[in-house]
Amino acid sequence: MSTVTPHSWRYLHPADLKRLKNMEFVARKVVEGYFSGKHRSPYRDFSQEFADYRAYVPGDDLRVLDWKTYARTDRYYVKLFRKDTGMLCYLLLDKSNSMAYRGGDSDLSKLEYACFLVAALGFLIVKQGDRAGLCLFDDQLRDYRPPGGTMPHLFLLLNDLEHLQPGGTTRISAALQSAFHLLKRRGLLVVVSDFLDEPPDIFSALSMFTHKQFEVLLFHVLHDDELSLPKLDHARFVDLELSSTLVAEPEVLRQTYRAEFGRYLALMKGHAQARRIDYNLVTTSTHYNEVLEKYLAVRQAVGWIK
Amino acid sequence: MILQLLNPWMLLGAVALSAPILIHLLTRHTPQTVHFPTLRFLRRALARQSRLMRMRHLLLLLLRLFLLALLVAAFAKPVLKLPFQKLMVTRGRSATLLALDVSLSMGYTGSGTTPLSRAKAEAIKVLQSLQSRDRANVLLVSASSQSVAPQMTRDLNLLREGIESAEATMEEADFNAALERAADEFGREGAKAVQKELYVISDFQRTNWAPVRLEAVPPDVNLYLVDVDSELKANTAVTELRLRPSSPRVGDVVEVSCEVANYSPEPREIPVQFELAGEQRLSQRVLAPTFGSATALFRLRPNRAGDHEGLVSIPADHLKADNVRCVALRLLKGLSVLLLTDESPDDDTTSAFYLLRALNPRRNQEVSLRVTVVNGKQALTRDLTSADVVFVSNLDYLEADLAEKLLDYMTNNGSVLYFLGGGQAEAQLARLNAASSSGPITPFTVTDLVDLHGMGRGYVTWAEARFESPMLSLFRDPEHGDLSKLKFFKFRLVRDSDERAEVLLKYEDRTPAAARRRVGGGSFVLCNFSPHPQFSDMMKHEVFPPLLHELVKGALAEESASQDFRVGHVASTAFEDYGGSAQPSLAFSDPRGEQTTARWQRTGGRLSVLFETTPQPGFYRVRLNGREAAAAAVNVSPDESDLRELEGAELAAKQRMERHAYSVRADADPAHVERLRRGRELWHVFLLAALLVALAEHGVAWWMRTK
Repeated sequence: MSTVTPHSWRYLHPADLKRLKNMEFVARKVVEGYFSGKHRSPYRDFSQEFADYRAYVPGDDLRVLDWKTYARTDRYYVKLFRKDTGMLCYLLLDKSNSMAYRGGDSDLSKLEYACFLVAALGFLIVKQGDRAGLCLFDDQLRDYRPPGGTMPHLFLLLNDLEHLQPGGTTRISAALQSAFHLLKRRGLLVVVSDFLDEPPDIFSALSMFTHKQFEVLLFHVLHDDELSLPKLDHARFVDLELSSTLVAEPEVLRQTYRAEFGRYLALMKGHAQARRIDYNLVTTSTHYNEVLEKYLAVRQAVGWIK
Repeated sequence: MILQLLNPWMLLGAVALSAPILIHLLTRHTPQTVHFPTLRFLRRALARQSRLMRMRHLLLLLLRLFLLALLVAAFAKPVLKLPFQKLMVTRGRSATLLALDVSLSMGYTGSGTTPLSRAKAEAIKVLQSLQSRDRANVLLVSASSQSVAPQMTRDLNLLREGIESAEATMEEADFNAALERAADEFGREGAKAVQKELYVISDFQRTNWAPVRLEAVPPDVNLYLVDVDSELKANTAVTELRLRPSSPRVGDVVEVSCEVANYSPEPREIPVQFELAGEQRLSQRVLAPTFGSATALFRLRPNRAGDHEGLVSIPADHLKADNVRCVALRLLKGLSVLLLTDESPDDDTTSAFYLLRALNPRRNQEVSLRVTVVNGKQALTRDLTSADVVFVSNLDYLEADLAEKLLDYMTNNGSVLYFLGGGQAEAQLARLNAASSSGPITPFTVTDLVDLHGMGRGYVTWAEARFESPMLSLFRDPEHGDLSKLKFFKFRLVRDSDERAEVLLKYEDRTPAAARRRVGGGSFVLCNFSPHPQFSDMMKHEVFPPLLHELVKGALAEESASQDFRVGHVASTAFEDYGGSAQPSLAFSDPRGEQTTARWQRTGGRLSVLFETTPQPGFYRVRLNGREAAAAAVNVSPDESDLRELEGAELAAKQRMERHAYSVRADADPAHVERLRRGRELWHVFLLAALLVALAEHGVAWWMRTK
């Protein structure tokens, strides 16, 4: 597939394309897709390639019972088939006001950073023949572009990203619940957000997806200032979403704030690990390419889960 | 301890120094606005930290305020002073008086430099610390203190010269008088001086300082006691000379008792030498214990009547003046006793016979007592003034004219001893009383005669004697004669004893046996006994002659006893000049032989001379018509010989009970006295404390940031 990308895409640069060209996003779980692809499909078809036998357990589909083997051995065995299928990747991007924080004027805002990340992921997915879709949310699902595997579809995604404006408050759990009803077929769910919501609610919503065999991948995008507060003696903080204010001395408060925020991050990580959800904490000071390279390298090294 | 600020107006600096704090506080209310993704974690952090942070902030605030206060206080020049101190202030003038001890002990040379030289150095240090506007004076303290300047002056050079030229005197120091004089001088300064200070610079010799009362110093005067002597000084001295008899006569054995004191930490054997000018030189060795004394006794028998100059000396040490002591020994010529009696002195049954024998056993005119016997009629025409003492015994008649003559004699310094024996005693005594225009002269009134022998009751003895009287002092020691062995068979009953009379002897029943009464310049001694064999057995006892001799000498003791005068005090002497000119040719000289001044007065046949100025020890002499007439012996005070200091506890007790003062050692840090005057400056302490607080503030701030 030729990869011709217009130079004007804001969130996908030629240099990035070169770097991403050799990367591959492999599904860890058995995915469900329409098209044949690189990913294992849970479906068994007679036209599919026979892979192996295994002993029958009550509940197995009798259509895959190997009667010949039963005749010969007087034991029940089922056939296993291998079928490559195309992966569905749902890219959920948080566009709430909190993602608008950029720290210094020359920094990327979290939303911009997330868009770069989403664009890169989308390119990866489409490049390797899989399909990528885009969901935009704040306190609820705001926009949904179903997965597609063509370049024009990718361009549509990129265009959506370029016209994206932050707004609304953060309520990830509600957005995920709305998305759950929308995303019928299982696949890879990539959530890119600052996750400024209660972790139990977030993961409770995510559990619906994992229960439905979605592979969930979280990119927790934060600014360094959120980790350790801006370097100011005295500041009036204004909530980007709620507009409430708070006067504090970051220098004095820093240690306690770090401890408090660290507890939240630990909670997020703990919930993710418990549900076997990939959780990646990224800061806008780290180039998204580096983040992806590192993540994908680890992912490939780990290999198939099943 | 009280903290005082010398620059209290610097506290206004607190207002200026608070400006940065205020600016800081004001600018704190304009924080930078930051649009932050969420405030949730900030609020949680604040909630956790708020209470702790408030306390930490409060601690920081307190530290910073404390730092500010310390800095301001340091610039306000804090000083620490004692409760009674009134500190020197930088403005206003002071009145300073330096009382410099120039007594004899300050000239002690045993420790390299004399205490006086150290005292002068301390005094000059104080002068050097004064400002040009300050007034001061120097008081040289001795027996009679003298000021260097007539009043407090700004001429510090004059005072400095006065100090440098001061020398140790031969006198003791009267600090009570000096403190009163100091109080007067400060009183003249009144409110002109902002600050008044009195420095007493002395060796604080205990004998001088024990009686000193510090209360004389006014309460608004800072009193500093500067001790220039701290080491124990050893000294030996001749502290006393006594003569016995106190009025010796030609032919008498004179006993010279010399007390030698040893003021050193070990016993010493001290050679003592006594020299009677131009006659004898005697020596002895005595062992004086540690801080004790020993007595050397010399006996001699001068043959020439008149004044003899005696000198006792011990080896010279570091305080030479008290190693010598002089005495003017006046040897009286033989006394003339007039025995007035109508009895025959050759009849051994009469009182006159025994009196005569006792007074002059060999009837020798060259002995100390010459006795002339006259009867009543002869007495009327005789000049009684040629007799030193008149004995009256068994006069048949005592007419009024004789009574008046006797009274006149007594008034003009004569002494009469009347022995009660005859039956006319009552009438004669009454006549004597009647002759006196100023009232009775008899020490007691006699009545009936008691005859114990005739009553078969035996005798009575003398049970009480006044041995303090010069008439009887010899018999205090029974070895010189036991008066209690005398037996008396007859005596008079007594009534109406005069309270002004001095009772010399009493019988067992407390009846006066002898009493003395002053009559004018002389005296009347009434003896309620008689040497007549029917009255007593006195004549049988060996004590009888010395008793009569002592009665005679004792009657004259106060007129002619040798006196001991002290350097710096008035000295006097008197001598007889009967028939001399109303304006005699007198010359007076000091111990160096140089002419000096004195006042003199003639009383009848006696000339009294008063030396008002006695700066040196030795003999102050009087020459009459070119011939040596008399001398007064002037010695240093024996109190100056004990060089021990007043105990610290005693001085502290004085300060505690009488008046606050501050004691300073002369060899202490020179800045020490300055600290006493100005208080202990504490600005550097406050600055150091401020530095420590600043470090603590940084430490707390760092700790708050890392926690």
